[in-house]
Amino acid sequence: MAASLIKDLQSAIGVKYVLHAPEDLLVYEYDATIERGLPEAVVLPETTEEVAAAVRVAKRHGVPVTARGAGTGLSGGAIPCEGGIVLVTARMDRILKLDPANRLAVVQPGVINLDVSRAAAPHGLYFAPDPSSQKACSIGGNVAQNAGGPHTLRYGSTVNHVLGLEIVTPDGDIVTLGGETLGVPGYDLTGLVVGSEGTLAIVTAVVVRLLPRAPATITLLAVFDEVREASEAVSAIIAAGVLPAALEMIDDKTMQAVEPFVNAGYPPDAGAALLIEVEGLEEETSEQAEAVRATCEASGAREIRIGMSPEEREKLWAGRKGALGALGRLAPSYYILDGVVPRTRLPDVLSGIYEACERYDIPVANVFHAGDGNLHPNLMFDDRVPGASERVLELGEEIMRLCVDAGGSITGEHGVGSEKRNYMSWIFSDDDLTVMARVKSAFGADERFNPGKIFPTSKGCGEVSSRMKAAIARIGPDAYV
Amino acid sequence: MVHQVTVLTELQSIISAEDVRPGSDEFAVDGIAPQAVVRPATVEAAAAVIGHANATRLAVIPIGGKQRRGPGNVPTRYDIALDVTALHAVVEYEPGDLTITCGAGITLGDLRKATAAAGQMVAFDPEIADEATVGGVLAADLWGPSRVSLGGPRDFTIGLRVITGDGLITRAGGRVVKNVAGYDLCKLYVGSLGTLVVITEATFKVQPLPKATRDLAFTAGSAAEACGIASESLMRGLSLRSVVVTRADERWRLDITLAGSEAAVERSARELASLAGDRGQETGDRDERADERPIGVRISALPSELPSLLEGLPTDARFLAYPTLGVVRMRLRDEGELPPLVAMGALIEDAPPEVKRGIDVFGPEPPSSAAGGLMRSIKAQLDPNGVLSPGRFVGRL
Repeated sequence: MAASLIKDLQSAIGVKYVLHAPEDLLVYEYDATIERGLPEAVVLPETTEEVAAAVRVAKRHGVPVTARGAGTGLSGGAIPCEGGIVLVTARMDRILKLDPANRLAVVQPGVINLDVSRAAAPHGLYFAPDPSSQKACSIGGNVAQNAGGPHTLRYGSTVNHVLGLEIVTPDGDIVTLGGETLGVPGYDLTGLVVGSEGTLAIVTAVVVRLLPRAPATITLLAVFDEVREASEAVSAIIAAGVLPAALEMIDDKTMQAVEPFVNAGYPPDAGAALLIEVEGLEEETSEQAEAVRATCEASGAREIRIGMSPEEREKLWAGRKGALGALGRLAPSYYILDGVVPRTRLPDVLSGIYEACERYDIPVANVFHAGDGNLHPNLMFDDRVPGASERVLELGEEIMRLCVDAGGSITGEHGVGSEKRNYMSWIFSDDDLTVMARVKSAFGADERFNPGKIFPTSKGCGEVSSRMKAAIARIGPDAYV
Repeated sequence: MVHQVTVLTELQSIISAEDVRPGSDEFAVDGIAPQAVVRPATVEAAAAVIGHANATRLAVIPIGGKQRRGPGNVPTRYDIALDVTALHAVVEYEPGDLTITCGAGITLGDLRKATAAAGQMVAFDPEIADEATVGGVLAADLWGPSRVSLGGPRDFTIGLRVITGDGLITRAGGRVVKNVAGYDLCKLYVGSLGTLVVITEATFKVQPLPKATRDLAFTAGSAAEACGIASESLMRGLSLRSVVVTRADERWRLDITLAGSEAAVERSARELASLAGDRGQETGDRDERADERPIGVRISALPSELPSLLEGLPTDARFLAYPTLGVVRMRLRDEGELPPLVAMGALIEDAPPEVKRGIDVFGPEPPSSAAGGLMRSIKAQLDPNGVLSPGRFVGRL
């Protein structure tokens, strides 16, 4: 029962770091999605041993554990769908080791993504994964979701930058996977745990690879009259043999929303813009920038701006980075989708998305990683209007179908979470999912770590368990607003 | 042991009789010849064979181009060689998507030809003949010197079609370059030495062929100097494709391949020449006498530890060191040279069966018991009856 659970957690990690008052729990019922789920207890351990102790208490009491980093996730990954314990890594925020000679760092999961690059900067190094939330999101969350970002196009996702992990298993065992050197023998459990969304293990330390900063970077902004021209230019750039570090698209709706804030200089009547970044030796970047410029012009770009200095480049990026914040002004709520299509299908799938949104009469703004075909349509709506959320979810599902029908995937970097678990069967057969479930059971995970995520289920997240109903009854309906 | 005639007859009742042959030394692994060789024409036929093996507890080892059968421990059993070379088609290739899907039986040579026609490449460069198959290279996670710039097979494999030990045909990953839907089982399968699944099809990221490449070689006064030049050129962002340190007699040698645009390669070459100082460039090819030595071992270290590790090796040692990765591959004349290297954490990458019998090629220390336990559980889940390459992997899985 709940009181003994709290008591056992308190003796495992200290009274101060176990939250159980209804008003404290409410803070941990959400992440950056529209899902909600209330935990019975929140723990904030400081050490690996405390994580293991809390997990063992959870096991003894038969309650699930959901790990939470900074709560910036976009697929419901940190929502305790079935109540239980939310384990917050915020206090595990130390960089344990910075080893510039070997271009690696060992960090705790609560370290903020950008802080790793800041710490490495004096040595000319940085941590490559750069999700848009990098000022706020944690490395543990990046590992759980296999986070991406604009520069994934050239440098890969989080998994390509993790050498080893320390994890706590659902049984409460502390296990080291991989390490600081390459070629630790055995199955690549590090690569498996990255992106497993907290369902196999809780990560308590991460060995990350650091990359040398490129000597030269050039950023280009190419403005087009039509979205189709811009999306065709994406494939043309790749066909020209250029692999940019980043290749982003910003559509008209986004530019119109961003311009009043950022003064990025977007023309009010432009249809779309591409933001392209090339990196390397000066000689190579200037050649590539020239190739990109020529290709964009041939694809119909009406204006191309080039940023060489850090200040100029920052200005060109400002519109992209400020996009989500600006979109927030257009409507009370927005729903960010994350789908992937083969790059060459981008023009058709984008047309399909605009057509579907028009049919639903729901405004959409597209700002996304065009270079790797990773779409992020933002659907804007007012969740106070009865039925609006349902229609938006329905439209989101239709857009995901477009991606899958084009040979793509239901998520490129946000994860499956609870949001897309029922779309998994669109891209994986029953046998494919069976094998994933077997791997999960090999970790002894059952439903003990982050239940309700990744795998299809008929249950809804936030569809409250009996334990959670009791918790809600305690705070009363008025508190739940 | 099941009688060979029975094995053959049963297999012939499952797939086309002409795809089943008696086993031979040609398909031997570590000196053990199988009772039967099957060369299924389809993935479904391959799955039927594995399903049959699972039901009758026959041990199956997937065989590709037969270029490298030394990795892993000596198998505990080996009844059926599953020759995947009939599954060699390019299934889908859209250069604009920078992805290619092909059968596991395609050779590296044919894959290179297919992509080169579109000015592209898959970043495989293990030191192995063109006849090696993609499936074998993935199963053994064979990587080469370009790993420093382009990553290893796990980094560019984005999708796999595989058959589990109980005969399920399943997919992992997908066909798009960025994808986080579900567990990334590709990571688990690559490097699993045929002990979890049989790989039948793979999708890779491809990339543009470099506009220019150049091979350079420098003399260095010490291992530290050679490794230092390598590290400095990496930090400067020079257009490195690969970096290898070797020693012939008393001379240290640094081989660097540059790749990129003409201008970038030219500038990188200039900077490297000044980094290497007046010691001058090497001419002539690298000493390849090492290849005659029968035992291959691999030592992993932190890059910063590499110089002292290399300086400590006997002067007649034959090795390739990857200084920026912290890995040394070494060839040995006989097993007498093994003990001090094994004590340093060396793994045996390939060796004749008489050397491998009785030892664990992955080293005397099992992986930490907890990680080993997870590996054992995963093996039990994907190959419940232990019919896939039994005994070859870490911990004799």
